[in-house]
Amino acid sequence: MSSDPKRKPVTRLRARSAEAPRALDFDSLLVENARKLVGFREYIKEMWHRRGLVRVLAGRQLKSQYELNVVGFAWWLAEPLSLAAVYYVLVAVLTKRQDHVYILVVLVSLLSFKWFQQSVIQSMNTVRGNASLVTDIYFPRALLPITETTIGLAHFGVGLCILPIFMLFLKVAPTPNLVWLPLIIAVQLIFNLGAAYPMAVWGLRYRNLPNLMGNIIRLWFYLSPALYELTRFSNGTVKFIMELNPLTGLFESYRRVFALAGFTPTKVCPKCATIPHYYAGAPHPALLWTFVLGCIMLVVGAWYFTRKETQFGKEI
Amino acid sequence: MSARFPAVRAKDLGIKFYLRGAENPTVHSGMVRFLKRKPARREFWAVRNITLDIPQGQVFGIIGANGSGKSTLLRALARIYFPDEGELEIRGKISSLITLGAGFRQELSGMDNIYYNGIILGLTKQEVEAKREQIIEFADLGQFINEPVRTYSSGMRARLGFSVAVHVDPEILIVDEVLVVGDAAFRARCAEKMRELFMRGATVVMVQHNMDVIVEMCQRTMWLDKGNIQMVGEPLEVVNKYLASRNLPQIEAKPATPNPGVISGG
Repeated sequence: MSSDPKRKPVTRLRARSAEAPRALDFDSLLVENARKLVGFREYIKEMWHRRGLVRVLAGRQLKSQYELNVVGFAWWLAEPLSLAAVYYVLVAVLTKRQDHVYILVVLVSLLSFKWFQQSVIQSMNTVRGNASLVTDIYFPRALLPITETTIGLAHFGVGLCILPIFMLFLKVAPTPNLVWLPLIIAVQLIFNLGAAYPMAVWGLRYRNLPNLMGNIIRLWFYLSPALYELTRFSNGTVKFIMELNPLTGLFESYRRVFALAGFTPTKVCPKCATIPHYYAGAPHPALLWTFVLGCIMLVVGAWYFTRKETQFGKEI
Repeated sequence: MSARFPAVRAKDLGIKFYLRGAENPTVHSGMVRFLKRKPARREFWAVRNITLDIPQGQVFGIIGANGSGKSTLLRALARIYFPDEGELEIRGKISSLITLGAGFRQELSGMDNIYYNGIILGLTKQEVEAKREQIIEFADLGQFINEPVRTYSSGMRARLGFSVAVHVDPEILIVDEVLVVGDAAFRARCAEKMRELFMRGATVVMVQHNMDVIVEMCQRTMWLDKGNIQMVGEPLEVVNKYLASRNLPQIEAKPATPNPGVISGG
């Protein structure tokens, strides 16, 4: 009714709220101590009701960061591209590794890692960053970490768009395994959100946590098979420990569906970059572990967030 | 309208804060505190034992000295502070005017901020589109509407903020002392808009330090003192009791005009 643009808003009288509350009436709420009546399920429904806010908050931030045009999008790519160049120079050139496909291996995992890093770090700052909203307007605060993760996803999506250019240039043919890509992205979305929720609570409470986590996450990156492939490890125990890292499943799976995993550097010669001696495949089995862990983290984290959210206005 | 369902109903409502001194909590602060053997924090009840019914369509004023918990109570009604004690029932679409232009992005133009803030305040995209012209006209910023908000004066920012917030068509409007902004002409237009909201039967809860405005506009008034209700009732009576307690001159009875007066105070 309110969405009809033909009706003149000046003359419209807003319908009063119903006499008795409907089964799910967000306009009439009983807010009770310790969220007894506004329970977790009702909260989720309210989030759904106001889901449009995610697009608005994300769009607003992106628009103020970059003007939304082609040049703006190019800026998004500058960081992962320059980082990939740095790692390429460091590893491929200095160690005389001659498979140029390596730059793709690095780029894919870098883009994925950047998304994870951004979700966690930005979520830690998101409540304080939106302080003027949080202290003055009510909306389900759980939308804030979703907003940060969505912004990261937008960056990630644009980043993925440059992969085909590299693949064309390096003569890496896409395979039908690319159909798995949305699934891997979905798993990472769940995992990122699961990490973002508790971090948003703790990042607000402990002011120096974002700095600390920035270092921890960077260390985590080097311990994950991002700059190197899991296939490099022959020791079963090391491999198993590596696979317990939830980022392993993601990085390896992205590589596999982009047909970049498993090539052995020893076989690479200057001329054989066109020979597909690396193999494509379905997502790495460790992705299942990432998914399970991500689901647990998301449910527990979101529940924890909604419990702590009620104090955000005071903690800022 | 129904007396059975008041717009706002609070029962033994209490909001507490923790006082931590000058300490900013950090990852290691718990350890430091333990080593220094200092107490972690002290409780402070900003408002407590608030039991209150505000019927639909009433203009309800809150007065009290600085630090008496008026703004805390308003924020609780706006669902920003969660009850630490007691219950709070809110019936109707709330819009809060606690800080004008809350959530404006400095780098974005006034036009963009209308769109984003409208949706943040609960309008749909179509509603914002439909009301955009009205909002722009009401704010009356001329060509500055396309300039970034950071270039605005505080008065201009407040005008835009007020303009967006009142066009949300709230059923319950929560107003902190924000209407003192702008020039006389804009204040008159604000008063006009507020009257329009009253006519539609919106419930208004306002904090005011201007006692004339309270007496002129409110139907009921609450005097808050150190977080507790000191008195609730007829505005003139409450205002005069409050003024008497502070050794200030009393206010005359309001003139018998049918319309609520202009918010002329500042």
